[in-house]
Amino acid sequence: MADENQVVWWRATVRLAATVLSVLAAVACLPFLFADSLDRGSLLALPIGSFLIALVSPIVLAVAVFWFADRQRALDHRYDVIED
Amino acid sequence: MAGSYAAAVFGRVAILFTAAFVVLIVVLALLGNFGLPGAAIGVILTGATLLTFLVAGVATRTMQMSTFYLAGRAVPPVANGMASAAAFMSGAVYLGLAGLFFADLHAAVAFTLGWSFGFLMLAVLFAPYFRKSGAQGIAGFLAARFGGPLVRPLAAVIVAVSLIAALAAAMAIAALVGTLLFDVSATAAVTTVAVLVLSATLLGGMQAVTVTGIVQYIVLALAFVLPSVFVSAGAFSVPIPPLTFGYALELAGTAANAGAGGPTGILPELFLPDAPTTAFGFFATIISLAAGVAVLPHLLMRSATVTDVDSARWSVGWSLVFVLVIALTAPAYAAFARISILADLVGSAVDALPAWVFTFGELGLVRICGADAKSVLTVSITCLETLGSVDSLAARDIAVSGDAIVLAWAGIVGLPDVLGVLIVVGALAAALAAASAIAFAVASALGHDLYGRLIAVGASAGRKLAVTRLLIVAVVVAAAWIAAERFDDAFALASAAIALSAGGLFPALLAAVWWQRANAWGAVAGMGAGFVATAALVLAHRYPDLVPLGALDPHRLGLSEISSAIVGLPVGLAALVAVSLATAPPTHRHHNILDAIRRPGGAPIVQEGES
Repeated sequence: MADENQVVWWRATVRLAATVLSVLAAVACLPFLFADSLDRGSLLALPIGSFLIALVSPIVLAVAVFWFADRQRALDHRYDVIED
Repeated sequence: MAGSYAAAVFGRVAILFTAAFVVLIVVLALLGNFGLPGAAIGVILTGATLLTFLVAGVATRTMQMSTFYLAGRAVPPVANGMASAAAFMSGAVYLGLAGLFFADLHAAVAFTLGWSFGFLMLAVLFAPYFRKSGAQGIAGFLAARFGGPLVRPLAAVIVAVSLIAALAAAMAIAALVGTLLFDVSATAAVTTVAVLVLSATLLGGMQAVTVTGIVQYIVLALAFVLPSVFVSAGAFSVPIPPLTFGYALELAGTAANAGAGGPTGILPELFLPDAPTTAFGFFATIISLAAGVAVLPHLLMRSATVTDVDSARWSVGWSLVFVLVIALTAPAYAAFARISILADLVGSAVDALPAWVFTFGELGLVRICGADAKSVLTVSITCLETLGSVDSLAARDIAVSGDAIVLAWAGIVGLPDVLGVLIVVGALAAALAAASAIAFAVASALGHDLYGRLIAVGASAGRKLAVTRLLIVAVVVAAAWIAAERFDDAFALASAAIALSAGGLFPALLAAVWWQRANAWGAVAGMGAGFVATAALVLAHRYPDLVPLGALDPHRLGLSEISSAIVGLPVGLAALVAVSLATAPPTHRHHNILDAIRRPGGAPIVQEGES
């Protein structure tokens, strides 16, 4: 019973990890793919592409760590695998 | 609860120290205004800071194993984040990152992005499971998961070999900064640095590394951020440097185009020498750095000091926030330096050049008319030879190394003495924090994992502690010798530390948590193959005569020391998978161990460093 629960919890954990890493890898790299068209505009005097990869992507990644920690905490509580 | 009590203590200490440090800076700034000479400000500020580091290290001394190895498992996430950021930042990043941005904004972005993604992977893939295992270091973690006689010693050797050059480089930077601040010999500076590193590791172990790390982070963050806030507010009326550096670059672009000649020349960097030059090199750098940060031994082992699995994840988030405070300010250093250099140097007569040009020209970091700017006389002679004039320099006659950007910044942008000293003291704090954390990681791998588990299995806890302490001394002395005698090699190989960790440890750690079928033989093959492949590329890059790779010349592929793991990672993963599948699957006992590592609740599987 407890083992069954842990299997389901682990599947959900793997899914969360895979989602977080693949989505964030894609999001962080998007500006590179569109660099040419993005760089035609500018924000805070930087070409938008540079602005996104130099400032926005790292901040998005930092927020993602906290978002992940929050989701995983919720998951651990839902399946009751938390520490005593 | 022990956790919240510790959180309150750490919080109070951090706030009190920050307040005291800010008050000291303000008082010194006022005294400087009333005529206190810069040298006196330097002595007071540096002396007070180093004394605090020393006191923090000695006050946290302990004879208890769990305090020495694990800081009592009571470090709150925010405090652990600060200590991790200080250890990660290191003198090389503090001094070198702005230089990378100065040379090439796009190449430098590979570093910030790679690190950020690495911290995300650390939080998702490794930190919580490492904390749950109960292990103290990477070697212990892998040994607990895989078993077998070879996993622990191989991992311990990879940790020690990967990090020793980085330790030497951190100590060399601290010593270099010391000689800039005070008129002392290089030997005296290295010796002082060794004493400071020992004070923060020898008596209090992880507890001392943590508390001094927090203090050092506060010093380095204030030292890096305050001066740039000052300039940003003064020049652009917005006190947030990341928001204004674009305007500075815009101004610099206009100035460079309006003035005669191209942009200011760039000299190669020593601190972070590996800016990618090709698109492939760019992505290789990001991947190599991300995998390296995720498994960097002195970062990952900090996860063992927090109270629980959940805190291990949050703590990584805070680490990244504290790293980004510096990393997102670095481009502003580069941009503000660029406009000042263009404004003050271009069009200037040789005898009107500012003093910093010659201070750093002496170190080979500034070149005018193609020769090191050692004095007005030498510059005048070379400029007369090449230009036939000393009255007006063009941008193309001036070359500044990225290494000088942060060190010379106060001179370049014209800041008061106290802020100039502050920036350099910050570099000292960053270098000392990294050196202490790395020295402890290397010594505990050698003492705890090699001596305690292989050579003297039956030794008492007290004896193992004594041996680890002896090894800390040995490691620091060895690194001090490298720092003093083999300066260049130390820097060149230091930037490989992250790649060697990635190639040697990432495949095994990944499989340890996420692939049930992986076994001890696979782990050994993965570590060995990944490490050797990465090391071969690093050596081929640094010593082409020693390891001739011919057509596979890493230079031609746009690879550098830091991106070498792009080869080691797939090689290591392939070896791990192939050998695991070719040998017997892990036993039922190992499945139970893996289940226990994965599940946050329940008892830890090992109790390392607690008895």
